[in-house]
Amino acid sequence: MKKVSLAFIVFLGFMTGFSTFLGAQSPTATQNGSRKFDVRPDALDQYRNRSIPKTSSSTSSSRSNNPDFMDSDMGIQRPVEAKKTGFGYHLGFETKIYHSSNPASVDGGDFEVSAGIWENALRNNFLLGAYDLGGASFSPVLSLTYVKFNHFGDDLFDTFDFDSLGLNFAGIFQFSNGLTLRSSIAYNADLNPNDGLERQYSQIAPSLALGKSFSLDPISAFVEWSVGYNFTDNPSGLDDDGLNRFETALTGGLTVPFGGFEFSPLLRFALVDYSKENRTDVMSSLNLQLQYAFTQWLKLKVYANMSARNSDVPDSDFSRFDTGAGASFDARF
Amino acid sequence: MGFLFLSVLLITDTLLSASPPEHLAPQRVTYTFGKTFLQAQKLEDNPPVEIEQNQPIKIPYPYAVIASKNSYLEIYQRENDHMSIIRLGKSTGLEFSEKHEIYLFQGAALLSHRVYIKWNVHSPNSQFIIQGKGTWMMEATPLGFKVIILEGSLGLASNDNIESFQPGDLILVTDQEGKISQDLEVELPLVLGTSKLLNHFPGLLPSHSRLISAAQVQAMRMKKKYEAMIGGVRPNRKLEIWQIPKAEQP
Repeated sequence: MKKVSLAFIVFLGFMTGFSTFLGAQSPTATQNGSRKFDVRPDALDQYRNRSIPKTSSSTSSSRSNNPDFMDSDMGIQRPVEAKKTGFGYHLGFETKIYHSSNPASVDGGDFEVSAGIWENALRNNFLLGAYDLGGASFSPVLSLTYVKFNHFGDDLFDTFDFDSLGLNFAGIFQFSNGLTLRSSIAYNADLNPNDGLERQYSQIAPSLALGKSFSLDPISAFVEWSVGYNFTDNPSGLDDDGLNRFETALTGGLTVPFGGFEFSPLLRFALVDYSKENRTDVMSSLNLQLQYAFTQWLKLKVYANMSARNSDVPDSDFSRFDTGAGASFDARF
Repeated sequence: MGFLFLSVLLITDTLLSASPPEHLAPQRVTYTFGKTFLQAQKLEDNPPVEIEQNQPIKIPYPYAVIASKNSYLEIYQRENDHMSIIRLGKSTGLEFSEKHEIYLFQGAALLSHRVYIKWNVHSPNSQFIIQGKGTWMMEATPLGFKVIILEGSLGLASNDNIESFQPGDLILVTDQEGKISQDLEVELPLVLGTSKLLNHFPGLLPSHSRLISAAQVQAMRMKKKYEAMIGGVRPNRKLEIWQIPKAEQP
């Protein structure tokens, strides 16, 4: 346990250094103070909050004492209660408070200062059935989320607070070899809480993702490749759909349980090509999360998130390092 | 011309019945581990013969196949254009009274078939009919059988009532009239990961992908896992339930 904690601290230290190094690479330039709508702050949270149940199970059969249920050739039979249909509802609330080295996601200038962010998210996932296709399963999932982002610690960010409304519909195919095919269409709208929830920005994003999960009991891992297009609308911008962009991403993650804890790093690289301008960006993110489950419905977590953008357009690079803690409450019906 | 055609048919039929090619034998042993035996009906004239890998079974019904202690056996049975697979666990004796009529003396067996089959299953103290297509397991108990449906569409019949079950259902069949219990549901991923009828054999079942998708669907329907394990059935009609200590929960 001590070794794991020490390794985690060392790794965080390394990532902090890496982030600083990336920051040093970025040229200092003057930036305007508007929030970057195309930098979605919860891109990795969406992976963590997806409602694909884990189908692998801890199946260790080497126990010290062997009652006769361990000796049956039919295997270990654990009674469960399951619904007759696959319809389900998952309600989740998460609150996080964190420090960000660069909340404006800018490349130098007056706004490249650190601040605190308090993020509160309400998530509703509706599982619209679970269907056995005889060798594959299919489950449609409808998600409705509302996230509030409040900045504190520096008056510069008074106008940066925003609410994000998300509506996502996904059809998920899971195959027996661990492959997952997910097609989805997502709508996101950023609303201004200081101006009657006026819409500042919105995007509709159809996407397709191919994933593969692995299990090295008790560690599980996944890798996913996705392609998608963001149709954007920015009412306050000079060009309403100026942020229209194609995005392809490779995401990988691990889940390492130990004791009551769960350590889960996520790494994501995305190539973003803007349709309205001659611009291509590379976005990279690393998220490290250590979570402790007090009960099935209450979890506490600490995390670190490093993200960086390298663009072929001047003054668009940035690097950002967020560290914080949070709690989540989950209920399944 | 019609006479000639009939003669050819008759000759062909006679040749086939006199000496069926080995690949057309109704059953073939596809895997044996440890000591397994084939026993023809008349014991005095036919002592048990040890079974060999890839051995076709060409003796008339009824006969029994036996897997002794720590031994396992897999048989492929021809069903027209398809095959059904019968796997025997350790210390198991299974008699084929007819092609689809079996008698489980003791132990556990797995059956898997992609075609609709109606099996008549007997034991020294019970009986039931299972019909449909899919993969299922059964184990002899002091009162009858424990049956687990792993995938597919299967129904159990007792008297004239046919009851449909879904993957994950565990059913107890008791007494000579074959009373069918209210179904319990068991965690399929755990069964798939620990059953030797699935994992002690070198090859995957042809229904492997269906087993996984059935487990995936059950996981999506899951409401609660009990901190317990189901054991055997006692002669006093009680089903053993073992509580899992916190530290050992899977």
